[in-house]
Amino acid sequence: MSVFSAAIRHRSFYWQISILCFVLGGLLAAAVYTSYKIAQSGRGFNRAGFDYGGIVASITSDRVEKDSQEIKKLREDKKHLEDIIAKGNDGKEALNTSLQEARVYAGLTEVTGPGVVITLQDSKKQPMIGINPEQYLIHDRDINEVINELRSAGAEAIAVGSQRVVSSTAIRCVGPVAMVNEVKEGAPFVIKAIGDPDTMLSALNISNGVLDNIRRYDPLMARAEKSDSLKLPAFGGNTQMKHARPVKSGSQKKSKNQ
Amino acid sequence: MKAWFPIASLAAGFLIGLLVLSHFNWWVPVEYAPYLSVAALVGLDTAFGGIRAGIEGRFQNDIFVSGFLLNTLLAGFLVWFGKLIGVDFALVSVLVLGGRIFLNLSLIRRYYLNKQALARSQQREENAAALQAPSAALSQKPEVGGSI
Repeated sequence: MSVFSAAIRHRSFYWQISILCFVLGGLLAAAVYTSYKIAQSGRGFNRAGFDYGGIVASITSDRVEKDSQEIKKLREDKKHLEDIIAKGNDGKEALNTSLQEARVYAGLTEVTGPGVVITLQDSKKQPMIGINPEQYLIHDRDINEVINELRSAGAEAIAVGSQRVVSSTAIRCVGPVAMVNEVKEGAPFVIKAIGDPDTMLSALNISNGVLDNIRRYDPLMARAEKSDSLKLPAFGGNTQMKHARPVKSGSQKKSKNQ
Repeated sequence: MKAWFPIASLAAGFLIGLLVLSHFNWWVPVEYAPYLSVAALVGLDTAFGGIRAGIEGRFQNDIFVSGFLLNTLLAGFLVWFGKLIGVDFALVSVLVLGGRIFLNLSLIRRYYLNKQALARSQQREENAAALQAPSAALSQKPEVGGSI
């Protein structure tokens, strides 16, 4: 008597299925572990495992060291300038040097030097189902994050497209383009930064860092390369101050409005 | 009964896989996660199909192995091609394989339930026969006597 019309002949199939089930278990483990890892490395990635104490101590001592050097340099400069003023009219040259330094620092001159070139572009892939298509586009915040990371890695001059990034620069999305210094820049966004190329590149490429976040769904969205010689344009925007006034060095007393 | 072998090896594979992966901290990149899930689905389908074929008595090694490999390749190709043209073809394999898994599971379930029912009815017949045998002997006696 049979359950199905076919004759029941129990060949040994348990072994084969057992082996397959072993492989299947491995596959399931990989799937579970992968999804666990992906969930763990979400945007709010966990910072466990960092030794904060040591890092903070080293940063603080570095900062103190740098600041004290800066103070020393400024005092020497001040003494130098005071000497020149005391001497009389020969101060033009020194004043000019100091002015040029300030102009370079403010981004009002073209600069060249080694650095990195970062290219950010929108993904050409079709968005995966269940993932916000916005994740496949480059936004103003991505550019801002990259610039912030570059600055923290010691970039001395930064430009987005044709626009130099200075202290008053705003970067924001307007429709399909980004406004940098109130000038439209379209994708792909080419960010050039002058500074130590190795430091900046490793800061950008740190795992779970800025570029990793941009490249999450498409590795082609962000590209960073070293460059031996970059030329950054000067800031071409308005430098007039309407509201801010420098504090006169003589009048140290409190403002009347307060 | 060797029926618990597949389950035990599934658990063993899962545990060993998890241990190895977490020990070496290996994990599949995000882009390849769909391939992995489709491969796991093909594995499940092959396991259920194999069990069904086995209890139907037409289990064959070559069909089993080639089915697993080819189905994995086809499902992977569908995922890749779907990504290429922007239509999620992985859904096709998920639907078909999922449907087959449920079908095979229902047939396996049916087989074991039918087997139990058969065993019960056989038992009942045997009991009835055992009950009938002495009663027939008893009931025959008066007949025999009557005839005498």
